[in-house]
Amino acid sequence: MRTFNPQLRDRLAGQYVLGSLRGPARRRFEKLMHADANLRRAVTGWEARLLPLANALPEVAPPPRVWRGIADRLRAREPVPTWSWRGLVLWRTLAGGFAAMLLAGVVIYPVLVQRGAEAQYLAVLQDPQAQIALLASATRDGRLKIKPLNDLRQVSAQKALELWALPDGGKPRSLGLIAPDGKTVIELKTQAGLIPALAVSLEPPGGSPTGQPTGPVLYSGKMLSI
Amino acid sequence: MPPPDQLNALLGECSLGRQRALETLYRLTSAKLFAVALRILRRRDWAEEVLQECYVSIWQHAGRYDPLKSQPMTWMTRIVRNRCLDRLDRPNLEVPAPDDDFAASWADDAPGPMALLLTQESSAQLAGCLKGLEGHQRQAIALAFFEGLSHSEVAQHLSQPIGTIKSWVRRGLEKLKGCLG
Repeated sequence: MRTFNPQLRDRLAGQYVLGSLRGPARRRFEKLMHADANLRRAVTGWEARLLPLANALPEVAPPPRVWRGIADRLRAREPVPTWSWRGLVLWRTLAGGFAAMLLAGVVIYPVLVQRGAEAQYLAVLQDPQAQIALLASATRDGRLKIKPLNDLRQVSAQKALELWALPDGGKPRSLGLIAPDGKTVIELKTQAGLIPALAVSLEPPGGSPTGQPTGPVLYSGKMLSI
Repeated sequence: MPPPDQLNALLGECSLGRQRALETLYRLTSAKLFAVALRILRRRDWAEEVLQECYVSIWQHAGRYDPLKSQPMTWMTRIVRNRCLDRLDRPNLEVPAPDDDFAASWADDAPGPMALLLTQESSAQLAGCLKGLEGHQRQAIALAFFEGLSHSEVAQHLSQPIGTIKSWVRRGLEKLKGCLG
């Protein structure tokens, strides 16, 4: 990974925030930023310095159709994230169900068989954009493995990722915290076949203080029997 | 301008899924962010689309906002600006020409757009520091920031070699940093 000396880093960060760094250079810079905390710090510094410049623009009220469009998109995308679990799962199933089944059949099943695991259930957890983020597999006797496809440390930041079992109609039940950057194995207290769906929410470090999800639901997916 | 504490609290509520909070946040901040998008994109239809995308994104990512790292308005402005710049970087885009009068108004020493900066607590110091820049440095910075022009577009707009523009921007930013800390 290419690294910069502090002066160059600061200069590029300033140009990035100003907006004069553009095209492929801007995209390269963003990639480096994801991997380099010093670069992110430099950018945050420049944002604090430069973005208040926006105050120089007289306000312009957007037309009412803009808010209506936002409200429509929220309804279409995700009925209230925290409390509407069933709607959420249904929506995900409709939107991503086919892709998930395909993936489960073509990609994951052979991998599991090859490893000799006797996994009986699979869940493909997706974000609201239907991007697959985590794969979970469980044996009939209740040993659940869950693994992120990408490093989710950026997402979880200073917080924790908590896994939930979503029963039909009932309240979500915590299955514990999961690692953002590697496999987590969880012993389920029930048979995996009794869990219709899984979800992951963002919680304070140590997990939800209430025993119910308090943060946004980041990923969810239906448990599929294989 | 709504107080940062109020915006912080609203973002917190958004992260808990309360849509009412997003509605209030929108009411308090959308005119400011729409102005930002409209100035960069210079087309109302695009600015409206981007604004919608941004509030949906603010809603989805409110849980990631960290009040210890940035002011809420800074965080939201970043989301809007980045999305606008991403759109400008799309290939084969016909973008209307920037507003010459606005850019020119940053070059001279008349109060112009700086007067508005001075009325806001969060930008008064910035206005003071901008006064310490050369007129041409200020203008190059304003063209990049407000109109979303790249170094080479600023160079075209001001009929200067790109190397000159890069050094105006670099020196201007260095001076601002020295002044603002």
